[in-house]
Amino acid sequence: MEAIERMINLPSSSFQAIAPEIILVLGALFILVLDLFLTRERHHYLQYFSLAFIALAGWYTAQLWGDTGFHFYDMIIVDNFRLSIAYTILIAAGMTILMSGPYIKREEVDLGEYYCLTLLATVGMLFMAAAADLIMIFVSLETMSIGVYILAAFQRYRVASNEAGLKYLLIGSFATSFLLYGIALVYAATGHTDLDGISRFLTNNPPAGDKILYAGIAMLVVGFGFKVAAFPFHLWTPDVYEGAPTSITAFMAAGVKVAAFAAFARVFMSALHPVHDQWAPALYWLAILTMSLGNLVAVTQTNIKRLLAYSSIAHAGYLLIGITAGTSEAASAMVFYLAAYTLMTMGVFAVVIYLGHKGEPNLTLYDFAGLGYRYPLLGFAMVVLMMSLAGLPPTAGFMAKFYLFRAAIREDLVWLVVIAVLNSVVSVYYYLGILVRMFMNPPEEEGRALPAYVPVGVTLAVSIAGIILLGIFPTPWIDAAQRSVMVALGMR
Amino acid sequence: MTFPHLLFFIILLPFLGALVNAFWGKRYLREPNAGRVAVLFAAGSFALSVLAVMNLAQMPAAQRGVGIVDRVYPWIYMGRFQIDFSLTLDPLSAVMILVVTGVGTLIHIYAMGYMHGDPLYSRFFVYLNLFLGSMLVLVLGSNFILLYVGWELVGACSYLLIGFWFERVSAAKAGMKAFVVNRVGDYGFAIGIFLTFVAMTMALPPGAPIEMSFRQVSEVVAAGAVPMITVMIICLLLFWGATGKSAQIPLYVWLADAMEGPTPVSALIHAATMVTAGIYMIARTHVLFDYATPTIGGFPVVALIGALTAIFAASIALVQYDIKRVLAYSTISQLGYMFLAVGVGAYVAGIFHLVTHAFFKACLFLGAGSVMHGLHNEVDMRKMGGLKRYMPKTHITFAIATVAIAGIPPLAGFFSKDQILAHAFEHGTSGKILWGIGLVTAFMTSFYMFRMYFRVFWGEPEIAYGQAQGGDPTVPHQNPADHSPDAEGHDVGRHSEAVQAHGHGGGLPHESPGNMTGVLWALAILSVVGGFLLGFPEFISHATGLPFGHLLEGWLVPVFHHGGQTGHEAGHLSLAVELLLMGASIAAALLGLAAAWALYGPAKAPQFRSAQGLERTGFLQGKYYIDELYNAVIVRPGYVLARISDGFDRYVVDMIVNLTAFFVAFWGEVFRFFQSGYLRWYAWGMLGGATILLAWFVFLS
Repeated sequence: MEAIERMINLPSSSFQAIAPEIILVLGALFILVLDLFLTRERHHYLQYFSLAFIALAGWYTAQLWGDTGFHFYDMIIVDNFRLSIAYTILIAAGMTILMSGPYIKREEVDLGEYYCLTLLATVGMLFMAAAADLIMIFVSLETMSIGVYILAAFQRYRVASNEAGLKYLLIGSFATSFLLYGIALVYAATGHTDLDGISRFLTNNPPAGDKILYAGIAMLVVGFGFKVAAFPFHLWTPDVYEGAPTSITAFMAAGVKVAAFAAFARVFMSALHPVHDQWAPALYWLAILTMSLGNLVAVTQTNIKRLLAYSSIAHAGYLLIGITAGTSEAASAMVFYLAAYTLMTMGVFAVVIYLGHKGEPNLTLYDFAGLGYRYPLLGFAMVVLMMSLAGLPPTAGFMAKFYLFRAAIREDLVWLVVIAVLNSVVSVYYYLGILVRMFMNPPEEEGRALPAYVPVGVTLAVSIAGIILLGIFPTPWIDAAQRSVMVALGMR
Repeated sequence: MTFPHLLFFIILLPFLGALVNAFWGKRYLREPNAGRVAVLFAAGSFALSVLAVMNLAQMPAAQRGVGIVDRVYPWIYMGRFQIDFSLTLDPLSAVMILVVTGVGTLIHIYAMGYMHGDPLYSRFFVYLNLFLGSMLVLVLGSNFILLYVGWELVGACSYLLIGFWFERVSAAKAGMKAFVVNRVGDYGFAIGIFLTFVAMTMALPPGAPIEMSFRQVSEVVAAGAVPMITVMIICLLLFWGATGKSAQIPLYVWLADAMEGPTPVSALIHAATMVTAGIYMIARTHVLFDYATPTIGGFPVVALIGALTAIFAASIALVQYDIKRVLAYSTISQLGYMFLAVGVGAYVAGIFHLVTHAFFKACLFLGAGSVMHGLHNEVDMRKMGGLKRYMPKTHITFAIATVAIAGIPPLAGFFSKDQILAHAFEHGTSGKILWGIGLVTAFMTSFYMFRMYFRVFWGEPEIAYGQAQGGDPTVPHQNPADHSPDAEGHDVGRHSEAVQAHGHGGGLPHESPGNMTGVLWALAILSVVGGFLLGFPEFISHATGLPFGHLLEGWLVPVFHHGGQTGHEAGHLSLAVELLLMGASIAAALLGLAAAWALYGPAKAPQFRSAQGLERTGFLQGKYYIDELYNAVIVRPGYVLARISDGFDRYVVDMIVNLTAFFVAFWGEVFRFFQSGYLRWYAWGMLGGATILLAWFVFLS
């Protein structure tokens, strides 16, 4: 009874603090209901409404910009770090929905639940960025994951899609148990689940040899490592990325990874910052192994979706450098990196959707032969995307790596950066290899006109424009990212 | 009237024109619309330039020296190094942009006719507009860095345009030669800029931003904050760069080969604008050159090189048969005059000659182009003669320009050349020698120009028209002394094919279309009036009370007023000496005309037997064998070095690279093996990872 009373007495500002999430939940329910009243021909209205809700959520997020504070008894945090991550997630979700329209129609899974689940998974992601408590992180991670599990298996008639969903679910449950166990151990060691409390406790009681705490940290690394696809918890990634519907693969590669990194960063860079010296070496090696594995195996891939899966693993490795560095500068570089990564991931999967056929026969690198001349605009887009993914100027990918590596250098992680740069060199091989096929090999079959997927084209155009904009004028964005981190509570 | 970023729009318009033609020129605009678009953007840039210069003219003289500054945006900011993308219009750059856009627009119009029927018509205008924009960046940039950007951009455009008819091996080679030789110059120029930067870091107080702007560098140097020797080395390095771009000894060799490009290109880039960039650059940094003039044995280096180049190139021009080559060597020689002028501190005279030269040399080149147009791309003057009957308009304009360059009053070339010689004369003892070289060059200039004029337009061709055109094998190769592979086969290929396909083959020469001759007239009129309108000698107007004055002098005073030597020192000479010098110039010009008349005048046509001895002089005909010398001393050893590097790259570097690739592929395969697709493997993998992590944290902490 007292609990209900406390709930009722919550200040309205608390509800404002989660207004974007509330909007998306209501939107998801609205879509579900609206679906009942729409004929099949009018299903695209669902897409428009979903986009409208995302835009509304984005607008509310903008209203919150600059606020700081804890809400719901230290469960929810408002700071610019959360909000800039939220923007990135909303952009990922918006672009996913935008390119989903023609795609799910082609794949004949044009169901209302698709949009509903996407919005609900987005809510989970937003809460992950907003969570200030390990329990909250766990709940929102599950909210996100369950939505994505179903979406991965959304093409019911396709074996690969079912397999992807099932694998993701099983391995995901396995990983979640690690996370939960980690949370329990950390609570046992510190007596807190709220991040601020953990941080304060660890600052006041330096844990000299607290085995329980370190076991908990190890478990947390496993749990987060699974979600961000770090070695050796990445094994599911290629299978699931390959099998899932392409639009959902994009959503997983961008949205899930951004949200997971946001929570990962917040836990390790604020709550566990007092014991940074203890966990940093493990993440140092995790970063090296993850990026090296991702890049080395990507070299041998011929299926474009698997290649991109390994590429996403490699990028996770680069991002782990940021967490290893553990400074606020590194955090802001991660914010910038995640935004750039989202844009290029969305763009490249939009290209995959463009080139795909119904039922997704394996899209291999050989299918790219000669496409650069047949579709010059698409060729140009791929040039920009691949240069950005490989980290070549003047693209967002280059600036992102630059800021991230600089932050690491300032923390004397010189060798880590050297290895990361060598890895980037390896990645140039397979990214530009695609361009070589596009522009230097003759096309294999007779050309067909590209499908007129206007929304996919819009997604691609937005992504290209964003990549070039961030690449040439990075200063305002990195400034915003830096401001966002400086405001973040408890983060140094 | 003005508006924000007016200067930026001046350079933006040609770039936009290039963009429009690059995207839509070939597919949608085609001929003649692609040309019209290019002309429109060039003319728009000219109109804005006039507007901007009018704004500048309305400013008080003191402010004019600072000029109009358009700080477009902060460009490169790294610590103290703070470079703006900033444009400055002061009287000097005002003269330059008027010449560049004005003459540039005329040549654009001419090219519409000249390039008629070329399959790559629109691409030509893309390059031409690109060049115009680049040249404007060069002359409007406020700092060394932007100047360098423009410098490299015009070099790239020059390369593209020389090799425009790239199917022809000689054109492709000439483009490469121009690019490589320019690179040698740019190397020195770049080092000069670096050294300037280093000097600035040391001269400026710690923490003060280094803008590298001409204003800042000039102020620091003028204040004496940089050691004299450093400034001198900087000057030498900058001049090194200038010898490349402006074709002076020892880097002049590319310009004659650059004639492989379409003739409008020769007129615009290789006569009127780009090659004058070196003179502009020295005038722009004149504070440095005034502060520490590099000298050899009492001779200012710049002036000495200029004078030597002038006489050297003029002597080669005496015996060439290829009309474009004569003009090319003439250009090198005239550029030498300009360097002579800026070398003795007579910046106004140098810029004055730059302007008048742009008028008459553009007119000459375009006239030569018109001749080629009418003769199916024939460039050998031995196959010409009597053209005044067939091409009256080209003939009159060519004659005017010839008189102008020869230095016969009252045409443009006379005034500017005479002023250069006068300034040289008053420059101490060394100046007298420089003056002497200049005077002999003036005689040669007059001679070779009238030689060409008489041979082309008077008399009769050695072989009658319509009998042997287009490299008929029955005509023996005439020139045993000419070994250089690029001297043959001018302007055949795409262009000539197109022209002949258009049905004005048949043999007899014909006059060019109106858009070409109209431009010739415009330039001819400028060649007549440009001299006395812009730079009428002060001493004559003082003595006679004529209403003319030295307009350019008054206009440029705010730029060159600091430093000891300006153009003012003309006043130091007495009226008698001035008149004497002027008389000597006129005499040299007339003597050249007389000699040409005697050897090549209509009475001697068509065989010119009396002149054959001179023309067969191997040394001159072979251009002093400088190309052969460079070939033996630089190019051949370069090849050897390249072979060695190639072997090293192939067998050592590649091996290392391949080993790395093998390593990558090997590990890729190893990891791939674990990617079995079985879920239990994945779970085991995770468990293994978790175990190791756990062990790490629990036992190592």
